[in-house]
Amino acid sequence: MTASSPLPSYVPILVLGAIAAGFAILTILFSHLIGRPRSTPAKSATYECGMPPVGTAHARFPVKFYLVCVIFILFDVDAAFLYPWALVFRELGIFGLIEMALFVCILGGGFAYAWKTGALDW
Amino acid sequence: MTIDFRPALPALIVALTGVVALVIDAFTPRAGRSRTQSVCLTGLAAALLVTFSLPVRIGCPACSPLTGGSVVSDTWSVALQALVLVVGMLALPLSTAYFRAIDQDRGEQNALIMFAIAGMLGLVSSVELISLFISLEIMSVALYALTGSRRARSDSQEAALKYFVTGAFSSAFFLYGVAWLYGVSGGTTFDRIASTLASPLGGNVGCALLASGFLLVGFGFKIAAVPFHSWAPDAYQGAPTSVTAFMSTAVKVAAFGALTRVFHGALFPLADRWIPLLAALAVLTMIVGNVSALAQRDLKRMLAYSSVAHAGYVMTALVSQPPQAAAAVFIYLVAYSVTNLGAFGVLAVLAKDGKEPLTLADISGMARRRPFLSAAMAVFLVSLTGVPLTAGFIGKLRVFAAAISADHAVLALVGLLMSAVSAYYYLRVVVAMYMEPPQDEDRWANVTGAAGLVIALCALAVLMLGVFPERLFAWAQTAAQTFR
Repeated sequence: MTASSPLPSYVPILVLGAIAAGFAILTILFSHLIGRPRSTPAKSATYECGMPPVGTAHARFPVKFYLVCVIFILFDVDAAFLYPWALVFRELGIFGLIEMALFVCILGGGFAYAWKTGALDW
Repeated sequence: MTIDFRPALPALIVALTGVVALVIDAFTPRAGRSRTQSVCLTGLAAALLVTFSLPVRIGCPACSPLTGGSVVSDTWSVALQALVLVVGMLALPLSTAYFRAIDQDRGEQNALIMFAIAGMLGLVSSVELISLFISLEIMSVALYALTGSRRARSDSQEAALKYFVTGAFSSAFFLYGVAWLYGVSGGTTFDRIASTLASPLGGNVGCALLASGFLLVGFGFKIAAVPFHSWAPDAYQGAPTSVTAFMSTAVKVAAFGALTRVFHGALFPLADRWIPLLAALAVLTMIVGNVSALAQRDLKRMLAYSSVAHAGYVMTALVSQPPQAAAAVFIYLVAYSVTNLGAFGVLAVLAKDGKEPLTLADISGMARRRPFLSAAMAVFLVSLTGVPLTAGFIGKLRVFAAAISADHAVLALVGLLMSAVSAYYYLRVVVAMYMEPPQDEDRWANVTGAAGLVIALCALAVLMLGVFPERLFAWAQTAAQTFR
């Protein structure tokens, strides 16, 4: 790869993209040209893996799930950082311990806030 | 492994104070009143002390950063962090007064303001694109929530949604620019980028220019420069007024601080290419902001378009050489933030029983009932116009002088013409307050306590900076030492 033209290394990716797009366009185009446009109720129904569709896609669900999601992120981030930290715990030593204690305390603050404001009351 | 955390200390202190404030308000019985204002003010004061006591590295903005190349403490970061912290300390009492007046003082807004300030502190001290982006997001996410914090009002929700959607969109642009710059230079630190761009680029010049363009679009949204300003009037109008006061000042300070560092630090080798673009944006911003403000009937919307216009004035300074541009930007940001915080603050502290003055009719004849507050408002509006003996004049003087010194006299000319246009809509408010008959009944709050003190301090600062600007010039000179 020369400095003046950084592009050649990306050409295969472009070719791949072109093939992927071309495949999608060609399939749709050919099925449109060759196939006979005949609409049946089964054809225009929602695709449900062969099952008859039940209700609409826009079902209502309790808004509380949104809070569950937000609180889940709290613990998710916690776990996502704890695992790699545990792996390098020995190398980081006391510095890593203090760092992680601080991090968990901050998350704990968020958790205490969520708890006291009733986000966990179902 | 050693990491020097000191440059990040102010942001860490502020963020921790925010967490503490959140927990305190969750654990104290709720009587519709938050108790965390003093905690937050203490946190900000502590951060301010730490900011000034950190070792300051004077030198080019983009070499040998202190903390593994992410966050530095240099003259520019100290000056802008101090400005952000002072604006935050002035905005907190306004916020408490306003949220009490609309009966929504739940404490969360204090914590969110602290988180936003932590992001701003990171933004002005970052010398690396990833930490810059993360700081930008910390600031923005807190502000989206603050904008929508008047939850019962649909216009507040609408403002939050619009701000969030356009903000997320602009973040994507910014990140794409970061990716292109990384591709060109193989690094994300500003010194790496600057040294790569200073060497012959060959075929990569196009990529570097594309990256600069994307970054400019990202920043353009945050500072509400003209093609990217359309969210600003709606967001500023719908947000709680104290939040508008905070975000129309502190956000601009932080975003312009980072913009100056990125374009005059990392991207300066390409200056010949981006200066014309920036100049065109500045002209557009000044014209569209001021002309649109003329047509507004709503006071908050008028001030929103006015703050769009002021972003244009600041941008005119950026076309000059680094030290001068940085000094002029800093002077304008100081002048603009005390003035605009005061102007929105006056509207915020008048709020009572969930209502607040929105139109000229609402404040007509106010000078007879509230002489001091009206006088302060008049001072702010005159300063926004740029009349001598106010801070606004000093700011405009330095900004236009910087543009003229860089042979962009056209920018200064447009700025002057547009300042004349702006006099119409600013002074219309003064005329309404002083020359029109008052309303039949007095519907607005009497301003007392900390919020009144903040307004008085802002008015005093506007006059002092206007009459004795030498101290401000000296600060700006020091702040700009980073850019040499």
